[in-house]
Amino acid sequence: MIEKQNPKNDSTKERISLVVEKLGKIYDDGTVAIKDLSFKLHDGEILGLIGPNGAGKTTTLKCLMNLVEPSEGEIRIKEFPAGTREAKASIAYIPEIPILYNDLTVREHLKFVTMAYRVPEKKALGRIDRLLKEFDLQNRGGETPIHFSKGMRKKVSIMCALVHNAQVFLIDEPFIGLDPRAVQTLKNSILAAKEAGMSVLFSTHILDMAEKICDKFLILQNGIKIAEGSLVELRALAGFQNRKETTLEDIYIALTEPILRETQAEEKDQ
Amino acid sequence: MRAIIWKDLRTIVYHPQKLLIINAALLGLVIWLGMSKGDILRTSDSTFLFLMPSVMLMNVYQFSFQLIYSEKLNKSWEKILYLFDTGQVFLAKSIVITLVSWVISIIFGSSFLIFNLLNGGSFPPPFVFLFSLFLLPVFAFVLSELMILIMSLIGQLIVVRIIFIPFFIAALTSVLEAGKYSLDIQLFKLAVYTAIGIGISFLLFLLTKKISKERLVTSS
Repeated sequence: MIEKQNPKNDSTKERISLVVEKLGKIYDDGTVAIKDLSFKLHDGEILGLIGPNGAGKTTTLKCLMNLVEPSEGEIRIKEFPAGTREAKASIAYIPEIPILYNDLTVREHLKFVTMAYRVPEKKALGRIDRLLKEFDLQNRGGETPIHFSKGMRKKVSIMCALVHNAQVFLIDEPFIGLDPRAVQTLKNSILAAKEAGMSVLFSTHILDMAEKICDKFLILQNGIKIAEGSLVELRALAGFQNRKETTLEDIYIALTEPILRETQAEEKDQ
Repeated sequence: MRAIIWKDLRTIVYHPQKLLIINAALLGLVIWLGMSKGDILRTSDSTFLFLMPSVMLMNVYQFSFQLIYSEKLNKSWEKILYLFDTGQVFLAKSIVITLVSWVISIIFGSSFLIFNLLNGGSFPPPFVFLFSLFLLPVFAFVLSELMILIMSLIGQLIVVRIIFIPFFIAALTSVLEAGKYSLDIQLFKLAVYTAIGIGISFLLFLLTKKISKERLVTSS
């Protein structure tokens, strides 16, 4: 399903899909959702955005999609500022809770997305048929998702993201609510996207899955970046450089525990 | 924008129940007028002139609610606002609402006209047709822009619905009183009103472009 990107002339130079610089977001009620967040995502890289609830993961994704206006900082997607037509054409978003229209059939959902991204009709039809087959929904393309299970709705949402030729995938909690086969399909799709030179940024709580497929991790807590790097780099940061069996979960707990205690102590004082 | 128009037309067509109920009620009103107030029907200029806007207004009212309610119910602002600009979304919805309402009002207008002519009524002057073809869609467009703007920014749709009800009842009852009005619309005035309508709709479009996506997403 994933179509390869056209390689550029300068193949030796490392290409960047996404640049976030000093991003900050303070909501109208004064809540600081993100503070001074900077990171880069390269072509063909999978970055896992990890953090507890309220860490600022979803706000970060929404800023990237230009649904939430950052209070400060800059976002560039494929060298274009977030929100521009070029930037929008480069990204695909899979929300945590599938956003589907109860009036449209599965096929119509996919057609709507291809129309929005101006995919030529013949190409769009081919992609829709392939996706329906890959996700085992070829017999349900004419049904509306109103009575679909959570997992089925998620599948439709994922198909909507895959149906156009995006180069950067933004995924919010991708594996929640999916059956094992759909998890496998999504995992394969993410890895295929990486192979084709596309970049994936996903937020997740499921650390063992993130450990299996991510190249890099970014740990957020209270809207602040705690750590960023590969598993090896994070191990070193957490002081586990000589313990290769240490999992991402161990590292995550080791890095976030002191801040968690600090926050709890501050709350107690207040 | 073509994609939103395509999707919204489907939303309306796949849920014809409300469309049928509203228009059946309007049809009932016209038939009742024909049966009990034959003299009003025979003064077809003014009745025609009031019937078409009433049909159109009722449909604009219903479709604006239906399309915004669909986005709020499905919590889908996020989906369309990351794909499109706010201005594009509002413009596409206004086009769909105006188009469908206009087609329905033309069906009503034509049926009324044929019925009236068969019953010995007179043919309305040409400016009445010009009014229906040019000015009416412009007014409907302005009204749809206004309604979807208010409906999308106010969380409680039912409040908006209640606020607008008296206006639409007034529009409907004007049909009953149509015989009392005399027509004084000249071609020049028609052109001026149309130009004003287009100007207002353009200003409203500029205003919708300024609405923040964050506000729409959080209001749903």
